[in-house]
Amino acid sequence: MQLFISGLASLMTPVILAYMLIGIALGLVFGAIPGLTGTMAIALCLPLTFGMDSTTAFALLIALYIGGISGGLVSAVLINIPGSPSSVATTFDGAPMARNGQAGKALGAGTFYSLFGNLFGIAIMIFIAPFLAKAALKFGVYEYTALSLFALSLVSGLTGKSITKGLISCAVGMLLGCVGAAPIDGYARFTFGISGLEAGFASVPALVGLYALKELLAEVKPSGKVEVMDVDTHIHGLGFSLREFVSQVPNMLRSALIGTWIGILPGIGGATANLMSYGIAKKRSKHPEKFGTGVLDGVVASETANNATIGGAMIPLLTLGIPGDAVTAILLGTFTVHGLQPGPLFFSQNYGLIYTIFAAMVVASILTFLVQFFGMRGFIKVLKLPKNILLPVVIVLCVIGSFGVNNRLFDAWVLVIFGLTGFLMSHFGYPLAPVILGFILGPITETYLRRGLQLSKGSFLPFLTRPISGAFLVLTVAFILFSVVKGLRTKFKRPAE
Amino acid sequence: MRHLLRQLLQYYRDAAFAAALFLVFAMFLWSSQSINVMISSGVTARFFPTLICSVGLGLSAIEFSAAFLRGKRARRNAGSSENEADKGARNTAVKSALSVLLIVVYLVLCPPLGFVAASALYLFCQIAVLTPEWKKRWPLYALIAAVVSVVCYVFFCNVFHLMLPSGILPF
Repeated sequence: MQLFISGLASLMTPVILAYMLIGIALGLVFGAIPGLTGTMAIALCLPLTFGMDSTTAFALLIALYIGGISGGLVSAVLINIPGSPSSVATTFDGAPMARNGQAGKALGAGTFYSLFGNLFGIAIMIFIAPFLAKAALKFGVYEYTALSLFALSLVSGLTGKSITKGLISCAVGMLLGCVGAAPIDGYARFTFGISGLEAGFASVPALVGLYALKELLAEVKPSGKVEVMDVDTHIHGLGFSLREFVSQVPNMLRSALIGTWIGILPGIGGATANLMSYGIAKKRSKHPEKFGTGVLDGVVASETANNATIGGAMIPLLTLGIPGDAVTAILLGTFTVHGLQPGPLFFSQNYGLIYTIFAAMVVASILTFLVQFFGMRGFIKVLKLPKNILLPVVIVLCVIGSFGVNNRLFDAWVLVIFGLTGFLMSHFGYPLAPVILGFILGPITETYLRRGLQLSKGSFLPFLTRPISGAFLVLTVAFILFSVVKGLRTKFKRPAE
Repeated sequence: MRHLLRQLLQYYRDAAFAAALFLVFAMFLWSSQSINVMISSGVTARFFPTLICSVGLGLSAIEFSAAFLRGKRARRNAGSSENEADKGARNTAVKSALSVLLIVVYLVLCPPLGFVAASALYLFCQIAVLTPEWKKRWPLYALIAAVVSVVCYVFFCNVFHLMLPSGILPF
């Protein structure tokens, strides 16, 4: 505790607090604008930290990280486009809530549960980091394969009305994820002679394209009339009642645990955590049919989980030197620039800096909550902007964001390809969430599956016989069977259909 | 003939889309057979795409059959006259296609014209497409298009050092 307080004290200088506020504001803006992500903000600000001392540098980067993840909420709720991949599931219920005149409630709840997710993840990181990191270290390729398959099986909970359409969407996503160099041996697949495709589709333009362009094309109404949402700008307290808070406690705790755990596992991250948590919240809900129409549960599940990944992702980085996602990979580079090497030894040799980082995360979470909460009325005003002007501007920002990923215009074309795919699929009633899940998890699953099969010389037996992977596979099969039986039951219950 | 085609599209559009997806999966399955593989490796780079395409083919065939039957039922139960909704849908399709075309032209023009000029042109045209006829205020849209393009260029080039195409601009 003393170390934490001394870390907190070292942050309480006007310069560091100013840098943190700038970082949070910038992170929130990057997170909120579709096409720009917190990862990009960190990557762009990284060179600025070279001349700073390590405390200031990490305070700024952590503020950007937390602001970037939290900012995705705003555009997900207000314009139905996720600002970052971590807030995809927030659009499922956040945007319908805004359409139902509850934008303030969705933003208030999203902001509060983001803070809870952040603090929960950080608390786990501080108190049980070494134990969790040890558990994650025991995971081998078989366990990772089974875990990825389990996450993919959650698609069955996100399929909407037709399970066939949902599974086709997932297959489309996985197929798009196959484009480019194959994992392990690096052979080119489905590049059709286009050199830009050799590295595959970059995830930022792909995910933003699926939503942003679809949104623009959906705005073209037959009459040409553009609807501006009627938003309730009066927010009482945090936007939700004490009764609603109490009813969300199990969902909040479950989502925070899912987010933290997913954050710990390398390579999966917030983009999966919010979808996985949303899928489980829907499955566990007493009223799953209301999901997607604007229920608080969806926003709580998504926002708690994506923010909880932050603390989770820092655990393997600090204790093992393994980055959990793109941001922690950049942070790992920052450690190296400052002459530090994260890992088990780092934990015992740099107590001062470790606890300063912990304190910076807590301070950044609280500041993000305050900036986002008190700036909420300003964010809501964004909705008042006519969409016929706002959406073309968003498309230009998406093009900039896509261009900025690799400094090449090819990624802006990826935005268009995915946008058209998303628009067509959504027009014909194919859900987009399974496309995203398939696109993100497909390559991860393939990598681990191929590694596992290579290790077992083509035998699937070790996947079943190892306790952790076996348990995940049983859960996967149970989930799929449960969804199929439930889908068939609903179909036969409906008269005349 | 035209009427029949329109009717078929109206009732069998879901089946047509499922058939298109079937063809896409078939094309990728065929293409996956030409992926290079390492002979010594038991599980090759071809394994996963082949698996996904095969599953996709099966699922889209199921969806095609279901959509076809749905369309057949709907055709039997419905009248044949074209309603206002159909006309509206055609209008939407034209405007959507125009919006897609505008984005494609924008990206094509970006390198030669530069980010500022291409963005200003795109913003102006796209806002015009999305705005109802009676609401159009051309000078305001031109001003918004120019200001947004210049501000974005200056901000992202100078603050974040993005190398956005300068094109015809001298800086």
